[in-house]
Formats: sequence, C-alpha cells, structure tokens
Amino acid sequence: MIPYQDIVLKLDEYWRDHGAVLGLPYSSEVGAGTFNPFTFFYVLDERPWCVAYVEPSKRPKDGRYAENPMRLQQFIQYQVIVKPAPRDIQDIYLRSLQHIGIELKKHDVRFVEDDWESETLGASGLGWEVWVDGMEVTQFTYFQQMGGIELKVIPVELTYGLERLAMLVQNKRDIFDIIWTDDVSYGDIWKRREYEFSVFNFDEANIELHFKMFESFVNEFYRLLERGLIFPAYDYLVKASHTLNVLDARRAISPEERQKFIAKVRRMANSIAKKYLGYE
Amino acid sequence: MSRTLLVEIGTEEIPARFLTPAATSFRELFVEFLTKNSIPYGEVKTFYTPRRMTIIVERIADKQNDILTEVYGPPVSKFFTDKGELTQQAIGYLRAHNITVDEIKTKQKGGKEVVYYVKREPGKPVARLVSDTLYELVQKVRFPKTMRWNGDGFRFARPIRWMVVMLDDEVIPVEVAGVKSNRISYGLRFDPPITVDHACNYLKLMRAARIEPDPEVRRKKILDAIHKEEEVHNIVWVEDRELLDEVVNLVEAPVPIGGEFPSRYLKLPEPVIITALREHQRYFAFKDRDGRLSTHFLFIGNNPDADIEQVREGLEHIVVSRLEDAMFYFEEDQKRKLRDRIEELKKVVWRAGLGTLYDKTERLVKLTQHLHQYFADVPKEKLERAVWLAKTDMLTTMLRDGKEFTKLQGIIGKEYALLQGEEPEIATAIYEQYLPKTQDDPLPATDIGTILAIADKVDSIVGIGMIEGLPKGSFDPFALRRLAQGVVRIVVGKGLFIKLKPLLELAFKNYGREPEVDKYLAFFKDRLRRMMEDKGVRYDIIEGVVSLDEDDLYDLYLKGMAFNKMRDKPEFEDLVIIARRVGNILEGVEADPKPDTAKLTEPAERAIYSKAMEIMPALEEAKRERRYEDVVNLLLELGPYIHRLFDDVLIMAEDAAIRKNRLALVNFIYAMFRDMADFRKMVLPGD
Repeated sequence: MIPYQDIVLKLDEYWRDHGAVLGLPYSSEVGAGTFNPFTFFYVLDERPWCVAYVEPSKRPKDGRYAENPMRLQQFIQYQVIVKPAPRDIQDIYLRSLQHIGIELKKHDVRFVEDDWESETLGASGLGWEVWVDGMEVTQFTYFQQMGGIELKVIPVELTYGLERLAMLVQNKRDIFDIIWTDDVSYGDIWKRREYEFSVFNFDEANIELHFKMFESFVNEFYRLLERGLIFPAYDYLVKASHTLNVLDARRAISPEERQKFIAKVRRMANSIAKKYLGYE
Repeated sequence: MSRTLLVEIGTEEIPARFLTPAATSFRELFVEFLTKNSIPYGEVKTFYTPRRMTIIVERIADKQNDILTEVYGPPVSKFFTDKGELTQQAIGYLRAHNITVDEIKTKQKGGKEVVYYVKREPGKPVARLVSDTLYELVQKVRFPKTMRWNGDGFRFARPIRWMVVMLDDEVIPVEVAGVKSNRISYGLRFDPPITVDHACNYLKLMRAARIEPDPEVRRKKILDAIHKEEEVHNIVWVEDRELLDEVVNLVEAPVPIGGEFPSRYLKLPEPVIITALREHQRYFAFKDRDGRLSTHFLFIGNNPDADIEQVREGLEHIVVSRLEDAMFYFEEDQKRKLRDRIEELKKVVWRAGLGTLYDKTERLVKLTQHLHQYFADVPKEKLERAVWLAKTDMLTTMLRDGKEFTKLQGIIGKEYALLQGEEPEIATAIYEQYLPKTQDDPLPATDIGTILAIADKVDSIVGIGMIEGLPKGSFDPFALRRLAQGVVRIVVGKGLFIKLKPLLELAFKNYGREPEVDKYLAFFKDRLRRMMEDKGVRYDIIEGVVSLDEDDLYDLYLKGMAFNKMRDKPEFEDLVIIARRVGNILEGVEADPKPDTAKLTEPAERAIYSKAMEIMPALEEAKRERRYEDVVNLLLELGPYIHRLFDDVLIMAEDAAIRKNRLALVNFIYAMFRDMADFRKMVLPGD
C-alpha cells in the first residue's frame, strides 16, 4: 500500500519531469494554495511558469473536532500551476493520477462543472471538480482573474486533495486511518491538532484580539505597500484573510459584516497586484 | 450532387446545464447559414455529449444555388437606332458583359423601357462556404458563461481541443481557436482516437466506440435503468426531471451503478438526504412502497470498463461523508428550537438597506394581518405564529454553513417545525411561503401558506424594487418578475379577489416610503398580461380588460376569459360596436349619471331606459357574482335598443336641456359597460 508521503514524492517526481519548479508551502496560515506567492504573483504576468508544491490549507469553519471521517479544518493540498495552459493539460493531469497508482481505466473519472472563485483574492476561474468514483479529488481551474486583474495568459491551476487521493489509493474510509508511512498514520500526526484547532476555531479564539489583529494587519499592509515592500506587505494580507476566517468560524461577524471584511481584503489584493505589475 | 456534412467540435467537458441550449443555438446558426447562402439541404441534426457538439446536415448540395441578378443597361431608345440597329452604346454594353443581343430583355423601369440581362453566377462550393464561415458560427454559439484558455482570446464554454469537419469523405479545412480541423475524433478517455472515414458513418463509429452522441437515446437508457432499479428493489423513483436532464448531459457512455447508504441516516429529514444525494453526487433517490425514503440510490457512471464493485464502494463511501456533514448541522440545529431563535433574527441582515430578518418579519406581520380579511376562517393567532417562525430557519447552521443544503430554505423550516411540535399547518406554511418558485411549481395548499406567500413576495418586490428599481428589458437580476408572476399565479389559481392597491400602499408604508402604487400595479398587470397571453387570450382583449382602472387581478382575469370565450361569435362584434357607439358620444363631454325620466320624450329613449331598468337587477347580481359571461349576454340584450336610439334620436340636440338629458341617458347606459373593459382597445375585423 502506497503511503501518503510516497504519493507526495510521486507527484513531485511527476511534475519535476514536466519541468516544474518544486516550490515550498507558505509560512503562515492560508485558506488554499492559491494564496501562496508562487501562485498569486507568478500568474499575474505573461512569463511562462510552472510550479508544484504542498500546501496545508486552513478552513476554520470546516473543523469537526476530528469526528467526521472526511472533513478537517486543515487539509493538505498539492498545488500545481502551469502557465500557459498546455493543450493536452487534461491528459497530463490524468497521467499524474496514474503515476501515483490509480488505475483510471477501472474507475469512474469525470470533470464536473465547478467555477472557482476566491472572493478575498479577487480571483476567479472556470473549470471542474475532478471526480473519481463520485469523490472529488482535484480542483481543475483555468484562471481568468487574479487580484481583480484580467489575465492575458491563462494559467491552469490543479489543486489535488492529498487526503482524498490517499483514501482512494489506500482504500480508507476515514482520513485519520490514512497511512503516512508504514508505521505512522495520519491520525497519529494530526488528530489531536484537528481536535484542538476545532475547539480553538469554534469556542476559544479570542474575538477581541482577532478584531484588533485584523485592523493591525490591514494597516501594516498599506504601510508596507506604500514603501514598495510587496512581499512583506503580502504576508499581512494573508494574515488578515486568515484572521477573518477565524472570526467567521467563531460566529463573531454577521453575514453582512463578513461581506464588508471580504471586500476590504479584496481591495488589498487588487492594489498589491497592480503594484506588482507596475500599474501603480 | 447530394452529400453529408459533419461538424464535430471536440471540447473539454462542457457544463451539463449549458449543453442543450448551446446545441440548439448552434443548430439555429447553422440553419441560418444554409438558408442565407441558399444551400439546398435535407435535414440538420444535432448531437452532443459533454465533450462534443455535433451537427450533421443530410442531403446537402455540394454547391450553393446559382445566384441570378438582373443587370440593367441603357433605355431601349438608346439601344437601337430608328432602323433597329445596335447603337454604339449597345455594343459597349454587350461587350462589357460579354453577352450577345439574344440574351437581352426589356422591362419598364422609372417610366422608361430599359434593357437588361440576367446574370448567372455559379454557386460557390459548400466546402468553401463552410470553411469561410465556421469560425464565425462557432464564435456565436451562446453560453451563459464563457472563458478564455489561450492567447488569442477566443471565448467558448470550455476549451476546444479538436474539430472534425467533413463533407462526405473529405476534410474541410477550418481553424478555430488554434485548432485545425481533420478527421480524427476522440472517444472515451483511454480509448484510441477514432478516424472518421466518411461523414455519414459518424454515428456508427461513435457507437462502435461506445459513445452515445444522441441525448435522447441516453435519456432513454437512463430511464430504463431507473425503472429496472425500481423493479429489482421494489422501490419508486423520487421523480426529478431536472436531475435527469443534468445526468443525461454529464455522461456519454452511461453505465448505471446502484448503491446503498447506511440506514442510520434516515433520521435526517428526507429533503436533506435527497439533497445530499442529488445536489452534490447526482444520485437518483427512491422511496419504499410505503412512501418512506429508501436507502437505495442510483448513480450513472461514464466508464463501461470500470470495475463496478470498486466504483460502488467509492460511491457509498462518499455519500456517507455528505450525510455525516448533514448530521453535524442537524444535531447542532436541534440544540435550539426555531421558536427560540426569533430574537436572533435581529442579528441577520435580510438585504443591505432593507433591514434585518426581524424587520422583514415585522413587515410580514402587518401585511398578513391586512390579507387576513380575505381569509376569515384562518385563526389569527395561528397565522401570526407562522409569520414569526417563517424566517427562523435562515439562522440554522444547515442553511448558513451547509453548502449544498443552503438551498433548502423553507424546507428546513418546515421539517424542523414538525420535529419541534409545531402544528402541521404552520410547518407547511413555512415551506409554502416560497411557492411557486418556478413556472410549474405547485401553489401553496394551505391558507396560511397562501397568505404568507403573497405577503413575502409583495414585500420583496416593493423593497428590492425601491432600492434596485423594477426590472427593465430582459435584465431581472433579482427575479422580481418571477415573484410578481408568483403572486398572479396564486390569486388566479386560487381564485382570490384581492385589492392590490391597499396592499401595495401598506407595503410601502412598512418601509416608511411614499407609495408608488400605479407603477407597481402596472408591474403586476404586466405579469397578468403575460399569463393571459399564455392562456391564448387575444391581445386586444387583454388590453381591453387590463387597462381598466381595477386593482383586483383575478377579476380582470375573469373578464378577459369571458370575452375571449366569445371572441369568434358575431355577438362579440355586436357588443364591441354598441359599447363603442355609446362611448364615442360621451368622449370629451360632461354628462349626468342619470336622465330625468320625465323628459324622455322619444319612444326609442323610453324603450332603452325601461329595458335597462329591466335587466339592471340581473346585471348587478351577475357582476357581483362575477358571472361575466352572463353579464355579456345581458348587455347584448341592449343592442337593438341602442341601435334604435342612435338611428331615431339625435343625441346632440339643438336644445341644451334636451341634449343634457339625452347625454345623461347615454351615460347611464354606458355605466353598465364601462366596468367590463375599455372597448376602444378591442379590435374588430374592419378596424
């Protein structure tokens, strides 16, 4: 049985052979691999770019106190960007699944409409969820916009759900039963963290502190942006976005307020994208 | 010579909901192309799967028809000399067009007789026309949403990856979005490519490769699979045509795979389970013979080579995670009853600028109290309780966080209300407040549901209309027309005589706004017009009744139907003629409501007056009881008297006093017609 970490190695190997830069996960909490500067900034311009990296992604609201066999407040994505999107990208993608040991001919594989959007990043794209036997294993998106900017060269974003792939390959029913190595399970590593972060997200996060943090992050973002320190400024955008997600999970903001906060972050994303491209 | 034309646009997976309308628009574009270029053809057929849109034109000519044009020359007088010989000018004309004098014809034009000949240009080869035009046709195919995928900016629903364009056995060269046409098509993902040797073999080749390009054949296969499942497991399909339509367009090689979910999830409300099965997984749901939800489901796969057992296991596994999610929301939600969430409505904004859900509820309380006058049998307390609970389900986690479950507003309210011991009528009303959502949706069955449904829609139309404006043209982003249509369907379908003006006034007052009743009444009347059109009522009859100063839509509807029923009978013509005759006289003059009977001197005057008095009681009763066909028949009895009056008596008499009294008489008669329609709007054969 192929362990979780070997799946990652195989994907690295596959995408390295396709000329990808093997990138690194980002250093603070993100909601998706899209937030990683390897994606956000590098898709904006017209230069060719191919990158692959693992990205632990935090969705505070999706926590289930480690009780749900398929939902987590943090799950691990394998993110690939290929720009421009090659003509046979669907086949290239499907071969990557075969490379990690999924015998596609025996499964039901399909591409089901799912237009992707990140409100906070001002990003949107068209594409699908890729299903294997009814289970979504990848988000497949042709970006159209990033940071509110219409892209001239269209990149494709492949976001593999590593837990989902591991469950499929290892035939597991419960995420926590996935084997990470022959001796260590996913649960061994993550179960306690899942539980504690669920408690944190839903019950314990300090609301007042998070509101303050959000304000400070936004202010710091604009201060740094003004000085032309794009990458440090971007760190604060990402922090602000995650802080917002915690407040949301904590039920500290009404849906209307939430929309306002999201709009705030979206404006940040738009201004930093413009600055990066030298528009402003 | 007659040939077959094949155009297959091969794509990455086009969203299921886009396919059918897009294929229809592609076909229309194609037919237009063939017609405009006068290309003779037999039949245009369309086929499609998620990965292809195909047009096959059978018995198409290989050339377009020759193009004939008349080319004019000089007048005959300048063409021949007096002796009948050709002039210099004539010789020049013949030479310029390379024709002989035998081909010349003459014709009257601009008062002169001129010379012309018919120029015949041979039609262009169809292959060339297709080659020149296909790019444009593909570009024009309509989708709700399009994307770009390469540098040239071409837009389509999803990337185009191959194109087969052939006339019989020859490839027509075309390039669209960087893709060049050839004879290679693609079947199932892991199968070898398909070489199309001849356009007329396309379907055969596709089916040999296990692709079913015809959506109707796929539909039949899927329905057969559903029926087989019903028989084998002794269950009944929870019919869902929308899902069926979608699944037909999600597959190109349908393979039915049944499965089961654990019965412990039957604890969830049935609509939640059905939603978990359908919205995300696109599984068909079934009920047991006794009407309870079955744990059985049916999935339609797309890979005939799949290991069915393995796929089934996967399908069963994944649905558990969905149901587990639903269970999480459900159990969370049961911790607080709906009736304990009313205060919380204050925390949730309904719409920016239009207050919270609590504000909305308060407005609904007032509107429903007003509407109560039409439903005297409904206990007021019951109605009010339903109103206060109506929006509370919006506060549940199922609706706030439940992803695919968030569409269940009203349904969750009903299910939770039942679980929490609310009366069934109240629970049902919570669900029914949103009915009818579509053209074919049922109307609310309960009185409370009916009241709530009208109130909620009127409040939304007025509120959103106030902020966003009423929809113009085809753009209706807030679906206000659909809401108004819902109200019209309810009052007509349930036969409710409701005065709309006071209701609208109250709705405006609830928002603290100056009422714009006329504008909004007209908006509702537009929907009534549309409904009557759909029922086949003639447009002038619709105009005649709808332009009455009347705010009871059902009353207008009944009048329209009564006129429409008799529209082809001679009596209808009579009625319009006499009503107009009476009306015309009164145009622009002041008249008293009633004549002084003592001053009615002429026999014709006295006759019509006494006839009017004779039918008056029956007429009033028929109007009161809205038996409008009877009303029309009674009015027709006045016909001969009216004609006689106008033939025998000069209404606009010299003597002012007599004139005044005669106008009063006419006015008195006209009053009997006036509230039935504006007869000036109705059209007679002679108009």
